[in-house]
Amino acid sequence: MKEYINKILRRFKSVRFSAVIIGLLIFIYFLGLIIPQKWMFETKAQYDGWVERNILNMFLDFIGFTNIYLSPLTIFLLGIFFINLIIVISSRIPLTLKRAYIGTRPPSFSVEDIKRGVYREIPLSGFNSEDLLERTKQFFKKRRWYVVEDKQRKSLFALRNRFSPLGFLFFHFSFLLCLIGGLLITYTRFSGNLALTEGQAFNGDIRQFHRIIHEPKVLHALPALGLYLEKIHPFYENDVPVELVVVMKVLYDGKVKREILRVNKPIKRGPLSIIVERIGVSPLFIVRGPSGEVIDGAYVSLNVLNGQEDSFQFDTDRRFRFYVRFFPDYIVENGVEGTRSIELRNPAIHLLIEKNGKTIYNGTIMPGERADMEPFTISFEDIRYWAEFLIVREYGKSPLVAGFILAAIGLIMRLVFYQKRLRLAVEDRGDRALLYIDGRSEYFQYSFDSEVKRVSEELVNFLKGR
Amino acid sequence: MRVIEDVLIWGCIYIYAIASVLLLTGFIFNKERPLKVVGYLILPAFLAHTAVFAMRWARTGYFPANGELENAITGGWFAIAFTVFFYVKKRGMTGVALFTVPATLLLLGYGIMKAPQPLPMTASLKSSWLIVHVLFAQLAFGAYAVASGMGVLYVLKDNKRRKGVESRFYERFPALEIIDENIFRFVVYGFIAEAIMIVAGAIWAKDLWGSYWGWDPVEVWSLISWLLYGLAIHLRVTLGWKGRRLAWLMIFSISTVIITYWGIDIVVENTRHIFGVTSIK
Repeated sequence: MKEYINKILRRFKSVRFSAVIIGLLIFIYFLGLIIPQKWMFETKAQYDGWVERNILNMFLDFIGFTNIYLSPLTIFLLGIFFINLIIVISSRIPLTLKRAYIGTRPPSFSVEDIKRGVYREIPLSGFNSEDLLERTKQFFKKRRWYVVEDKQRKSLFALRNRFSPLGFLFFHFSFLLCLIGGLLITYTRFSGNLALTEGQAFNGDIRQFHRIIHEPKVLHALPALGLYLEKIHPFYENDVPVELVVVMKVLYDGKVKREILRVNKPIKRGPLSIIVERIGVSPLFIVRGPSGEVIDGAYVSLNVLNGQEDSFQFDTDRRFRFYVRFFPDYIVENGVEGTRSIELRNPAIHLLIEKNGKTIYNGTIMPGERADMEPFTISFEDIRYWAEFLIVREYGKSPLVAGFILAAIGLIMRLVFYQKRLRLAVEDRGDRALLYIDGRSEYFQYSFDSEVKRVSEELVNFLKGR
Repeated sequence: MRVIEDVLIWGCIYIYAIASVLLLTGFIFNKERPLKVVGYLILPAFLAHTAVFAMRWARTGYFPANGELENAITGGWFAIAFTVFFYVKKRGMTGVALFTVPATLLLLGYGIMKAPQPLPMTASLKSSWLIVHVLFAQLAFGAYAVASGMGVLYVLKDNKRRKGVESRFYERFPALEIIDENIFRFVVYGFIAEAIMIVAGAIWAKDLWGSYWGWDPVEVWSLISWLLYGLAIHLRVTLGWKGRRLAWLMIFSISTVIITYWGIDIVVENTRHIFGVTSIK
């Protein structure tokens, strides 16, 4: 049993195993780009229709590949990836500390050890070995190398970027921080869409949300939040929305504050953030009876700003259905209705009214005008903007951002400031001393040989006082 | 200013086209002279490219990252900047131009066909994270493009060595070991830049879309390319993948970066990384 566990641990520790897992994850993520995903379908019926189309689709649905990033196989692979990561990190800690010479000393060596490989030999007259060793030590210390001297064997070990191996731990540990952050976010995230028209308030009642996207799995209670939407100012340049300013009052933690919300600049309160997702128009429609009395009326939030058609009904009389097309800057050219721009300069509404499925009105009305729908009339009295907000509550930002920072530090430490090691040893030869140098570098041994040559020349110049 | 910019950009396209032909001729027929001529063409083209980059920025008032052409101008600028660096500092490595110059030419050509004139910057792109995100994205592309170019150079030179053919043409390029180490250097450069790009994008996405990560096709492709280059680093450092294998991996891997940056909006419609011009987001 013990042998079996050791065998599994050995497998989990191996880089080949990590490479296979990363390769499989890459493949799974790639599949996610070519297999249609559930969220791409507008309705459940459309998705169900797609699933029932053939046996392959049924199979993909069955194994969860239509929600591939959360499919059991992906979660399993991610689980294995993180287990592999934890085992690799823990098994590599002693080796990493050893490589950074924390708690251990560099191995002792002599001139003979250097002579066994490729080395440089520098004769220096006017020095004895002690002086030479001392001056060489000064040279490297001045250049911030980590230096360990072995006076007995007249040798010196010089190391550049001593702590570089710790970057390995930082980088791999950062994944665990990101995992903690990601899990916290997943389990505590509440997000929902709330639509408010100018002048409308949100009193904290969750039923006001028209769509709940994520329900938290823990910490269900949301902080008390109140909103009052004062004004929406969209700005356009050549029909391109270049800025959106939303003025609102925010009640949070018992304090009310007037805030300006923009795209890319959400309102943040503790774990809460309020983001503006899109805007639309809310025309005020008033329905009047035969003698002109008001029967019903409301600002109706419509999704018509980009030229698409939207429809609505009044609860008081569901026989009628109203189909709306909106022209922000109305114009008729060659008998065809259109808009000059998407700015609200000359608004008009094209109304198609159905009563029990039969068209009873089809025409365009401007603000203040009425449409006939016997025996009633409906008038377009005013227009306001509405905005759809995404309200998010989540925890986990701190470990996530700490993970991001640690990953960047780890990567730079490990891959930019990699270790370079030099072994130097001195031999007395009568009136002169001989300095032997060899060196090894991580990753770039071939080009390091020329660097050893350059450092040797600088060292000689230093020793000769140039 | 607009006319000058148009002239300069077309000038760049023509010079890159001529340089691409010369590079291909040089490498296919093992001739040195065409490569020397490229050396004289690339610097003025790069200066013109830099002028286009600066003029775009001055004219629009924002970092050129809005639309295909601006992305091509910025991305191509980094690829050519690395290439010019080699022409000036390490002439032996100029073979990378065989990849970087035609790649820049194709990107600029594609960009100019899609949307030549600058568009007003949409509200969603107005973020201080844009510069960090795009700058590191293009730095990563530039570095990976150079790594791929070196991969091509490695394979071509190694083919001659394997056949036992002595080629004066390939002698002018550095030893295979140096090319190999430089491939790794640029992979590391690109990998770090891409990591910063992904992190900057995630932080920006939180403010713009409310979540750090949304499994959007662009995000997934960038993750794929980052993991792939990460895998290449692992394979090289711990499993000793060097030489031809690494070179081929680099030649293949650049495709994931090109798809991430320029290919997604061609093949899918459901990315949130297309910043529409008719709605706020």
